[in-house]
Amino acid sequence: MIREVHMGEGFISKSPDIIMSQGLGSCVVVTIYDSRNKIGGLAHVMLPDSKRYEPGMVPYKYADTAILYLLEGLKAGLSEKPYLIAKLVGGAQMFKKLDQTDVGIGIQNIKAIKRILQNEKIPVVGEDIGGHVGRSVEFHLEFGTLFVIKIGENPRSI
Amino acid sequence: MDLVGDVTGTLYMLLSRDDFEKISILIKNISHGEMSDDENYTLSTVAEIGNVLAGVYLTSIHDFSSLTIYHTIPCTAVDMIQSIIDETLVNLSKTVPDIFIFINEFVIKTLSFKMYLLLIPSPDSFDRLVSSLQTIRRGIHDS
Repeated sequence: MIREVHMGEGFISKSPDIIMSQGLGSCVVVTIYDSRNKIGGLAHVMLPDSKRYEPGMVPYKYADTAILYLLEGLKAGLSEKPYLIAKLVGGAQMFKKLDQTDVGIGIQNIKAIKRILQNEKIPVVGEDIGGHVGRSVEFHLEFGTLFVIKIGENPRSI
Repeated sequence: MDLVGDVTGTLYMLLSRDDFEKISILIKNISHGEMSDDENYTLSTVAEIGNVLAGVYLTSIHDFSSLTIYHTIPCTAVDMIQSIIDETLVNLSKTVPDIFIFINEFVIKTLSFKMYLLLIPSPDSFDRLVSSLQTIRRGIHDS
């Protein structure tokens, strides 16, 4: 099964499914994978912190609640923390700003996700982040491979 | 382009890769082939077209609503549409309910291309813009 995840959404599934998400700019896709059980989850995170905004009913929209939901979903699938690995894609700043001190929302998203993963002791084993380029991703749950697609470039796996 | 003045927000001018190529051909013809392979030159020209069009649109809005709106220098990017407007959508995702879309078709001799102007006002500005337009509509009905 191929499942597409849009902005602010997330999904958890198992091998041999594929989870994809298109058109990342400043948003960040975070994937967490359990290679032992071949279960993985993908969240399309839009904002760094639910406490600074109204969380509403969209947990995957915010870095903190998205990772919490992914971990709870994986735990329900009998995953255990020592077997989990994470990958990050996105967090770009699509337009080069004249004001170099302007920290874009993409950088804030990446910092927030890395801090939360570090606190949860989940290693980040691959990333394709930052810059001024849009990205799409395909998360293949058979081996936890994350394919990153950019306009005018061959897809690369991380 | 960022908007400043009575209405704040972001204004995008979007065009497809195919229409971008059409503009490249137009520029190539105008410049007699001197700039034919320079994508930066084409991008700069497209930014200038956006600059002029944005000025015309914002002046039109001013004529209707009396709201004064200026725009900043345009920035350009060639990429997936969702990636390009992503940051604006993210920043406004919890509050802005609507987007104005102006669809334009320009015909220059036999060469036509489409551009989309996306005006994404900040939440406060959206209310100001709508209430201003409603005032005008009431004025038209009354007269």
